[in-house]
Amino acid sequence: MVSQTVTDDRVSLTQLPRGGRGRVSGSTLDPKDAQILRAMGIRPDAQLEICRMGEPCIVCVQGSNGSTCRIGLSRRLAERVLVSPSG
Amino acid sequence: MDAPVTQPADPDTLAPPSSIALLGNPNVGKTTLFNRLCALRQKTSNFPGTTQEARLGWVALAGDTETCLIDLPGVYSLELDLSESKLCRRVLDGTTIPPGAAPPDAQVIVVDAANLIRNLVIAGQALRRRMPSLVVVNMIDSARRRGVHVDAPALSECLGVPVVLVSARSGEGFNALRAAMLRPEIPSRTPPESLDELERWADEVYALVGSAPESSRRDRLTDRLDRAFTHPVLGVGLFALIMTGLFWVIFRLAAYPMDWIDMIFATLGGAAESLLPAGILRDLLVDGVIAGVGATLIFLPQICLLFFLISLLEDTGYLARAAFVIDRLLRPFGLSGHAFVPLLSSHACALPGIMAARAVPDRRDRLATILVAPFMSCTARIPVYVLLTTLLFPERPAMQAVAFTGCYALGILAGLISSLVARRTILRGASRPMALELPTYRAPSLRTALLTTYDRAKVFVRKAGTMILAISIVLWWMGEYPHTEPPQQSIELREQASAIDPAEAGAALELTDEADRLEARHSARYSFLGRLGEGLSPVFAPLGYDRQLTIGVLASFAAREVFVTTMAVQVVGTDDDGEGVFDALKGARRDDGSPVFTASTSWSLLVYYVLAMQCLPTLVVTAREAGGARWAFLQLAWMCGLAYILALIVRQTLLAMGVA
Ligand SMILES: Nc1nc2c(ncn2[C@@H]2O[C@H](COP(=O)(O)OP(=O)(O)OP(=O)(O)O)[C@@H](O)[C@H]2O)c(=O)[nH]1
Ligand SMILES: [Mg+2]
Repeated sequence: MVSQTVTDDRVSLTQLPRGGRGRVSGSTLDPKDAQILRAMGIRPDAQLEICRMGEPCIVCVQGSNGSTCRIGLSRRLAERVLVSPSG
Repeated sequence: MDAPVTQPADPDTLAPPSSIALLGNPNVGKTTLFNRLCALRQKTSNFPGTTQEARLGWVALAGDTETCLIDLPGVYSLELDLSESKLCRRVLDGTTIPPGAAPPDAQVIVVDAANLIRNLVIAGQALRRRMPSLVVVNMIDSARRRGVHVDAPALSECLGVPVVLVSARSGEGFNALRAAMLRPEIPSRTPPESLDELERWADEVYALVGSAPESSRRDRLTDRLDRAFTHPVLGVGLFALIMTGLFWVIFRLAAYPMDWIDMIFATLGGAAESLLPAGILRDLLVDGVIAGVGATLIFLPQICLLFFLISLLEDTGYLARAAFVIDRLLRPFGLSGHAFVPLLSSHACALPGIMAARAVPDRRDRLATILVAPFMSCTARIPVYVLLTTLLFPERPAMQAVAFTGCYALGILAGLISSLVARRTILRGASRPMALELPTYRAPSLRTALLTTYDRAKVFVRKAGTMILAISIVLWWMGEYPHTEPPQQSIELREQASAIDPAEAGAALELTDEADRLEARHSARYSFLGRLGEGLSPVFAPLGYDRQLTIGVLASFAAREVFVTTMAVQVVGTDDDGEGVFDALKGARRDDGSPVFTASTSWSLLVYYVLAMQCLPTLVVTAREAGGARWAFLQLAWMCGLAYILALIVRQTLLAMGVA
């Protein structure tokens, strides 16, 4: 998704706890999936909140605040999205 | 990116557009808006990816000049390598336009007020095309309820095009919308090109125009529902419960109007019988028209209920959650959760089901979905299921319901196994993991559901009034002619009857009755239809079908609904006492006098109808959507072959077990 300077705190989306938040900071998805997810709103720096862990993983994509886009992801996709946990 | 139009915009000199494309993210209400503007009823549902084809409509914005509206499939980005994105690009470029439309000379970008940031990205991409444009912020009703505020003048300032706020569902803001559609403007600003910059731009614009509260109680409720509906155990349970409820309602509620319709047609038949003089006209009316059309119309209530309930369910937003539950169940069979909606719609009719398969992103997943979709029991099979389960379990509604559900289960199972076979042979490879937007839960629109039901009912009644009526008449005629000499046996019976002492009228009547029955059976057998059935019956004889059933099965290739009609026309013609369809068919006899619908024959018929491909339009759509007639041939051969073999096994097993 983005090739950013590697920071140590990046974890896979599936490692966030329920209710946990993180900022999208990269991915190991194949380019086509990455493009689609990015268009759906899971884009670099987007703030994600985990609504449900596991299969499927449900994330709320929070714009700057309060917007309401929810996306369900197969675990196979979710574990390839990297996030920097925040709060 | 190409920018064909470069003239500075002066709104007053622009002619009203003659053709406008509607585009935007999936599920933002483009089709709802389109329907309201054009007074049409294209399918809408609370599921991303409902529209899969460009649709045309006309709206008179000013005076009499009609403007063509092109409703496009929703896309997350105009630049993706997906079929919907390509379609949108081609329509906007004017390279491929739907027949009957002019290349669009303006675009209306529909965005969802409650999800503005992401929607701004596609708006930016579209605005870069420098076409006369208008941005419509839809769903302001639900945005308002959530406390989301959108500043239209500021947004218009940022984008450099007019902006209107509307609710496509309630019609709020539509006067302003119509006025604005007369004067779309070429954007006075150009959003950045690279995706990174475009996303930053969207964030900046949103910061200036939108405000929303931190997540509310409503969101926490949504969280809970989502977790329950997609839970690996609870989710499956809830899904089963919802589907069982659906079919229970269809089964129970439809029974009443079905009885009334049956009664009405039986009364009609009886009235025509007693009012009209005996002769060909009466026979045609009673045995052909009333019996034939009545046998089809009786299923109208169930079909209406099915469409009504599915439409309600689609509008709640539940289906996107169910898709994930089903994803887990489908994956071992090489299908993905994306196949869920296509397969569910196929339970209404395979045609929209196969069309909906366009939303399956992976090619092989999509082909597998298309191939197995017709195994799902469509409404056209309902008549056959109802008839046969009623004959198999008279007066036992619970068992009827179980057998009825079993038919649906068998269809699904056959579809899954077929998909597995296909994925191991011609469509090798794993299915793609799923990503799906989960739409906001919404109270379903009763209006949409009622209108959908009405439309489907109209289609069904029209079919009963035209094609099925025509088939009934042709079948009746073929069953009635040529008139044959009465058989020797009946002549003798009649002679005996006339020789009997008038004091014993009862015995004489019995003899003439028997002679009537013999003659009817004889003439049915030597009619055109009888000979045709007789000639072809060896094909189906191993399954236990006599000449009448053979005709029924063959006529079903025109449309499955015809089966009951065909049987009714053949049977009612030979033996009528003004009874309802079911009673008449229960008494149907073979030429040797044994019952037509024995248990083993009925079961084998049921299996045959669940599995067989008997729908020409489906084959045409399969060929088109899968990209080649060979897929349609494969589908036909596979389904009919499987149906024949399994029906044979069922019949022979039952016979071996000593079931009649
Ligand atoms: N509350 C509310 N719901 C709306 C409004 N407009 C549309 N909807 C609902 O939103 C859902 C999606 O509407 P559609 O018209 O099918 O959306 P679409 O943009 O055509 O979707 P795709 O064809 O999938 O791209 C339906 O359930 C509509 O009833 C609105 O203004 N307010
Ligand atoms: Mg649509």
